[in-house]
Amino acid sequence: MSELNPNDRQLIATEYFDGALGPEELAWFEENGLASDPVVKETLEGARGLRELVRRGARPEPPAALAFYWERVRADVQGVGRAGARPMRASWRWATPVRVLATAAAVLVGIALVLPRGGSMMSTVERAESRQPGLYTSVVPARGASVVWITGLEYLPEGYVLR
Amino acid sequence: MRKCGTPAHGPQDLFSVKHLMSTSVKTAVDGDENPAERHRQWVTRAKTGEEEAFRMLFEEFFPKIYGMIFHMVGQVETAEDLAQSTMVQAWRRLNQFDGRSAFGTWLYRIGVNTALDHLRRRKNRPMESLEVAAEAGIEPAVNPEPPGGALDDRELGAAIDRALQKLTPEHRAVFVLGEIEEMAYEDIGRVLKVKRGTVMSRMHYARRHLQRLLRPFYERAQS
Repeated sequence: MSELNPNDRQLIATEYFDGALGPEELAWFEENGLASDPVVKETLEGARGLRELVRRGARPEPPAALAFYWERVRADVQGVGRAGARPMRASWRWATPVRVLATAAAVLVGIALVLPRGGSMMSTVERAESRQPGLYTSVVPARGASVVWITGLEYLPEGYVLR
Repeated sequence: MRKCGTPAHGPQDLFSVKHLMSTSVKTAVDGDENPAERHRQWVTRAKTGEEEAFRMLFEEFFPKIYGMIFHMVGQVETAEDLAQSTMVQAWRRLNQFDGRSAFGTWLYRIGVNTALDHLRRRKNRPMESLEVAAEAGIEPAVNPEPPGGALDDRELGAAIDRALQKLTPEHRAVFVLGEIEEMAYEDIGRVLKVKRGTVMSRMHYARRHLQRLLRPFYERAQS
């Protein structure tokens, strides 16, 4: 035990704490009374305290229902199959600017609909549709406006235009 | 995992962890049949093109993969995207899964690598990294401090995630897989493709770093 430097003792204590010592290593650990070594004890107490704290912290849950993610995964796998198996990462890279532009366009359309036009005429959206798998559109009537809700813009193929 | 004479994971620990798990995870733990065998059957059926079988795998693993990736990247939207990407990759590459490891180990490998790739790209774009951190409410230079009053589990969870973001991605991955996902060193080594000794030293230094960062919370919890 005495030939072990403090850092080695801490590392062995870590393995002991994680239940990763083999039978021979464990026997050696116990025969040498390492459990009562001050450095080992301090390491074990620190690890135990941290574990209690971490397991007390709330476990993150996906914010939406599983069915929502399942539909997106399903649509992605099916959509890419038809588009010729585009690599995943490339498809995500362009998704952000397209999503930003499309969101901005949707907001502008909404504002244009809400703004008064010198008369009582108010444009309405009759329908919104998408033929692209994974991309869903819907029109939500609101007070004095129609909101076009678009979900799944990341599934738009490159170069696709929103009209 | 090798058995230890003085097990650190006692029955009480297991109970508390089960208690924190989501419903779908509970099903996997408490189910009558062997989960590994159930996964094997679902994989076999999914490989033949049965969508419902992959859906079962998805429902069981997506919350776990999301949780693990969230701890890795510290941002909800990114974690959602990367967890979805992981499941898409797994579905497409399912025929490459040869069953030599557990399906969960294979899936975690895809998920961890997806998260690490993302973190490497984020590191190469410092401006975006700062923006993302700001969006996520991560303040790089500020140590987490416990709020006044009783220690709330949600606030504690947020502080732990902020502290995790201060570790290197490699240390973070080992800590998340070992301490939060409760994987044995051997499994962590398989997921990250590193030696057992590397897992052990990364775990040790990750713990030391987190203990320093979370000391105020630890002291409060003790009191």
